[in-house]
Amino acid sequence: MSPRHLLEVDPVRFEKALATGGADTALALFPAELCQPVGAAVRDPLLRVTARIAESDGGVEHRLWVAEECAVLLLDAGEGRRELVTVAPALWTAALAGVLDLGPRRGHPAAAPLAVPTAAIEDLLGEEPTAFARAVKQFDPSGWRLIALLADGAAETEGGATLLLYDTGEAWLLAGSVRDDDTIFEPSSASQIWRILQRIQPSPKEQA
Amino acid sequence: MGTAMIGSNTRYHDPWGRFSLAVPEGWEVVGEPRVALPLVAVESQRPEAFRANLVFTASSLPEEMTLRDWQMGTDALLPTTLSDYLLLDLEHVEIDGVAGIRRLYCHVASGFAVTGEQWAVVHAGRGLALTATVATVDWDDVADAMAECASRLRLLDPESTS
Repeated sequence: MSPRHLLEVDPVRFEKALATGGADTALALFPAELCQPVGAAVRDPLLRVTARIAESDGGVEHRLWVAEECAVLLLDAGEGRRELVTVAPALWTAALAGVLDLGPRRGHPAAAPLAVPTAAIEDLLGEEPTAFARAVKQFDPSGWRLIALLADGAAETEGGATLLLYDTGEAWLLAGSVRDDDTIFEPSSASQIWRILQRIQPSPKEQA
Repeated sequence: MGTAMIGSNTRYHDPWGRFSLAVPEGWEVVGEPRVALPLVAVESQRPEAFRANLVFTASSLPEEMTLRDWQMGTDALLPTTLSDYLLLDLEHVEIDGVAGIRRLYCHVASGFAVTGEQWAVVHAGRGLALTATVATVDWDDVADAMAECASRLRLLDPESTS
């Protein structure tokens, strides 16, 4: 995942600059020497992915842009820091897998389905930070994480895709059916999730 | 270096009688088989693309070494030998009725983002490992074929076949 750059950027300023002035204004907050490939990727990406993670002690949102020249990850490093990572375009799923801590879970064979209130998921997917915060507060089983991946520009999904994952710490679960007010997460595996991630790709012809 | 094209329903038989394996149709077996590296098979040539491959290795293990011990060593070795290695999955599986492990990982090989899937088992005093390496961008298309290949691996008793 090299090169890796740790940047001290106020996330509130970044979000405000992105909302009001667009990517160019937001990227002006970063050192100029980094901005050319990063700026091109953010301004004109082939694929945009937002990863929202709600967990017992808070929540984070990571962003990822995939372009022809590079893929850019803007990671929430906590305590008001943003970490900027650039990788080759073909490595974006590997970089995302690292960010999500996608890996083996010992309890996989014995995992059971899990019902999660659909309203909480809708809060997580909402645009407002306060709704995201409410979603986080509804989950307090220590060690568990609810992950929403929102992809815009994916080739095989007519422009958009949403992937919902639940990491119990012992097993990976994947959102399936809806029953009454709940979304049912079915037992999955890191292997299955890795395959699904490969389906959220810019078209191979466009990808460098 | 010898090259042999694999035809439909062709099984590769280890010259030392330790295993047989159904290699995907149209793939090529390359190089001369060696005791520790009895099989290298690659998919058909594709310009400017990473060629998916299957590699079978057979390692001599100390008599007291268990599958767990052997694989702990492998877990320690892979991150030091493969660029940008990331372990994705690791599970216990049965390989032709024998307890083994399966691991999934990604890394960078020759500038390509690749996914590796490996099945390993201790059989007849040797550590046998089948490793599939595929361009990550192709992984979803070929993962089933690689799993099928592993499911059709047959472990043989060298003494009964020699």
